[in-house]
Amino acid sequence: MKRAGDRVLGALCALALALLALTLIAIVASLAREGTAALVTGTRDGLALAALGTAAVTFIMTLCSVPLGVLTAVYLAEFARDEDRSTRWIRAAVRALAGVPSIVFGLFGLGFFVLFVGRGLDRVLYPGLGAVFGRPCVLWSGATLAVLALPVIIVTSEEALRRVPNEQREAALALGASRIEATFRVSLPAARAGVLTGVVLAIGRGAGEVAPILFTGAANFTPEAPTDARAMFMHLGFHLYALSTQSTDAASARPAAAATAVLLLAVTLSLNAVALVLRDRAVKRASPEARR
Amino acid sequence: MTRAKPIKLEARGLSVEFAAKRVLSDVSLALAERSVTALIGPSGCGKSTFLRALNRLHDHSPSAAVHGQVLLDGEDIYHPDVDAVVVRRRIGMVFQRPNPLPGSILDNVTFGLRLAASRDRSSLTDRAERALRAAAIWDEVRDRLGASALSLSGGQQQRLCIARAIAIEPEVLLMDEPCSALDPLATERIEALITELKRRYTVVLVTHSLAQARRVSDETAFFYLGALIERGPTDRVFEDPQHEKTQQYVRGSIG
Repeated sequence: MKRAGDRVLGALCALALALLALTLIAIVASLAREGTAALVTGTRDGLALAALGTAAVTFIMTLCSVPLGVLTAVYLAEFARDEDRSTRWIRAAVRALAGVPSIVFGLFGLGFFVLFVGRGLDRVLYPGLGAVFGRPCVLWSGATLAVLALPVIIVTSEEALRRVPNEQREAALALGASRIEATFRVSLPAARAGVLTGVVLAIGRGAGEVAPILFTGAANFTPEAPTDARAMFMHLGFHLYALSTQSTDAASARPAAAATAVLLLAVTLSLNAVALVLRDRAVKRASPEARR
Repeated sequence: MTRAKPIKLEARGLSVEFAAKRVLSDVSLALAERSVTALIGPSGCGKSTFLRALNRLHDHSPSAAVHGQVLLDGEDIYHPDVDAVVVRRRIGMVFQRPNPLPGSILDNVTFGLRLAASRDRSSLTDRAERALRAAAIWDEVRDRLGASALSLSGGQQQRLCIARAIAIEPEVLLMDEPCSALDPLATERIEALITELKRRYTVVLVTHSLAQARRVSDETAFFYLGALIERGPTDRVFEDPQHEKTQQYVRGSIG
């Protein structure tokens, strides 16, 4: 016998879920209706360039953040002593980093990468030549996004490594593996699916972020795709922002903006779908009935 | 006490502390070459802790501290100049629960060999076959060496783990309750295997089963509350225990 209170609560939960689902459907449907037509018929130059720029900056971000993030996770999970104060500080810092608003990363990127690292490189490599590295470009945008992606990669990878049973490490150690060998031949391969999930989630998040690239390299319009890491670039998210706010004729830019949004959504949703599949595989692998 | 066989491994004044709590105190025990020594005692008596101190597995628990000496052929494995990796190649270990590594059966058997930078594929498979035969599992897996090690039954997995341990040809084999997760039939096979293995290896067997200790071991050592209470030839320890605690344990009144 269900009590009335339970039934009311159940109904409220269902309502909340329905609202959420409806909102999502409404967003996707309206964008798709406006956007897909523009995607097919409209002028697609800007959109193509923005897509290429997004790919380029995401690639640089991945290159910078994955090795650093995974190695940090390996250190935290396999080598750091939990009772050390430094370990606790690193862990707290990583978690704090995850909560920083992305616009702050943008300002940090401008201050640190563009002005400090970039100008510093210019002084050493190209004295008297003006700004080569010391200006916003796709490289610094990628680096800034990498800082944003790091905590996601570190936290998920560390958790994946911690889920690897200790018996596995001991099996390797007992066979004469060093700590490093046990880590890279046993723990990390065993945690592979979990690590990959974190990486894909981080890429998905980074690909859609606009704030960190605002001051570090995104351009309203460039005549061509970035072929040099020191060039500015167009980005789907920024392109959407520019079309919606900077255009002299906002109404005529709407279809193009919707098309951009569709593309951006497609990119992030498909990356999240990949992450889901990988996580599913990780869970299956971890359960004992996983065979073959 | 006279012994026909020379001493292979000897603990001298071995103590282990976890976070300053002493779980093993001042154990001295000599193990004869090519013999099976059973370590028995109630749960928490320190026998597994002792076993893991014999191949320096406590090195990786930050809270563990080991004092005393463990002499392998007369040389202290805890000497600062000795590399734990080298020690573990000479002193293999089989764990309580079968712990095959992810990967194929062949991957598992050759794991230790590949670490030792043995790249020659044909010699790898040869040595894998020899180890699998020695562990009495070859006939069951010869047709599916590429299959996942997790597709084997528990008893097969444990024999695979034994094969993996002996593939690198250690001198001593530590076994931490290797049958506790297995059914009686698989246990019988492992026990027969242990008797076979002692022709080549010095075997140290931690076991909860008194019957098993009686069946397979030459010597038995009884641990209680972190101390070595009594040791001697297995028959003598079971039939004529000298110490009151040993008496109570082998007769089933404590433990």
